[in-house]
Amino acid sequence: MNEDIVRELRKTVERAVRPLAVSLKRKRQVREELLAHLLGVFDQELATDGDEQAALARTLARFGDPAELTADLANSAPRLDGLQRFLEWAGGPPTTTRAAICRSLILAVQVFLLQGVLIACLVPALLMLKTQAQFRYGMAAIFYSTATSAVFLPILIFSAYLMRRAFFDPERGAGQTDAGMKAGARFVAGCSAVLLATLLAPAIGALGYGLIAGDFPAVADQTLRFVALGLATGICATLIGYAEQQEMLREDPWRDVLIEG
Amino acid sequence: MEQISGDKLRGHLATMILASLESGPTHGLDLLGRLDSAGCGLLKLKEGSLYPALYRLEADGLVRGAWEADTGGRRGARRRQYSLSAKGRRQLAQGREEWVAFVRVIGGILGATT
Repeated sequence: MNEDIVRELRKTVERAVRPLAVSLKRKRQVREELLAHLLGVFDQELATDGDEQAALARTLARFGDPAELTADLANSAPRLDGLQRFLEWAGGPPTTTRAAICRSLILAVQVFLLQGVLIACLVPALLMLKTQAQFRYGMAAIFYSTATSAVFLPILIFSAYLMRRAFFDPERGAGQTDAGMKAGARFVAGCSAVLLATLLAPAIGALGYGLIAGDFPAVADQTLRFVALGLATGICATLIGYAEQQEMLREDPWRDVLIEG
Repeated sequence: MEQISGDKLRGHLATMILASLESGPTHGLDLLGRLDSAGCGLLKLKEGSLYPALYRLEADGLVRGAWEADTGGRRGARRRQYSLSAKGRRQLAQGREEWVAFVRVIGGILGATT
């Protein structure tokens, strides 16, 4: 298929989808499905007379006015899309270290706020606890779990960014004279970040556990759990890094589509 | 016979989609083909408008959507398969009853009952 045809089809989809006030994830899904539809229609139309331009015109006519579709799509987002938008407030996968740091911190604040809402919902249940000690213990557990995620999440997200750049970014070091050096530096940074996160996660977990229980020697009995937490952190950072790279690859063809004219 | 389009279809599209999915799961383009065949080619629907209707049905739990695993040479664009949920089947049955009642009442007013 002619690249110009694909570009025209993408443009039609983008005219309908770009103005939507929905999450990036939602936009990505709608784009993909509408493009798959248009490509299918184009193949049907092309099979009738073999004329690509005529087939394109018929495809667009069948599809309808993108502006009308935008209005219709705006009312069709799932109810939880608002939450997704809130979590995407800092944007999609970052491309610079500075953006990655900002995104990690914003995400931590967002999760902290969401947990605040959850805690507000839990307070009535906590007030029903029988003894003062139970209440104190419950409050401490909630406080430390909230504080732990606020510290833990930025580390995880930033490690995932470094991991993505180190292992999954197809353009790592490409087109630069010192490409080998850059790729090597990224590799070391990615490995170090994941190693650090793998060590930090159990340390934070152990500290939180000791503070909640008020019994630091008891932390030693939980060593296996904290080691598992560390390993899970490393694996999660890798998986998030990989998923973000896939997301960026899907986003790439749409980034430069001009919808005016 | 005159083609049926625009406002005449609005309000019935959701039930028509549910009815088309009754014969089995499928993706949007094939679903349009089913609607076209069932309507003897007289339904004139802007194809893009199918998707907001499908998304609303999915959000309401009346249909279930799942991405197809492969892109079939569609430039990395996957299709989404839709199937009818149990709630969707109940809604379809209710939609059919409402349609029969609608035709009976309006047909009576117009003097066009069969």
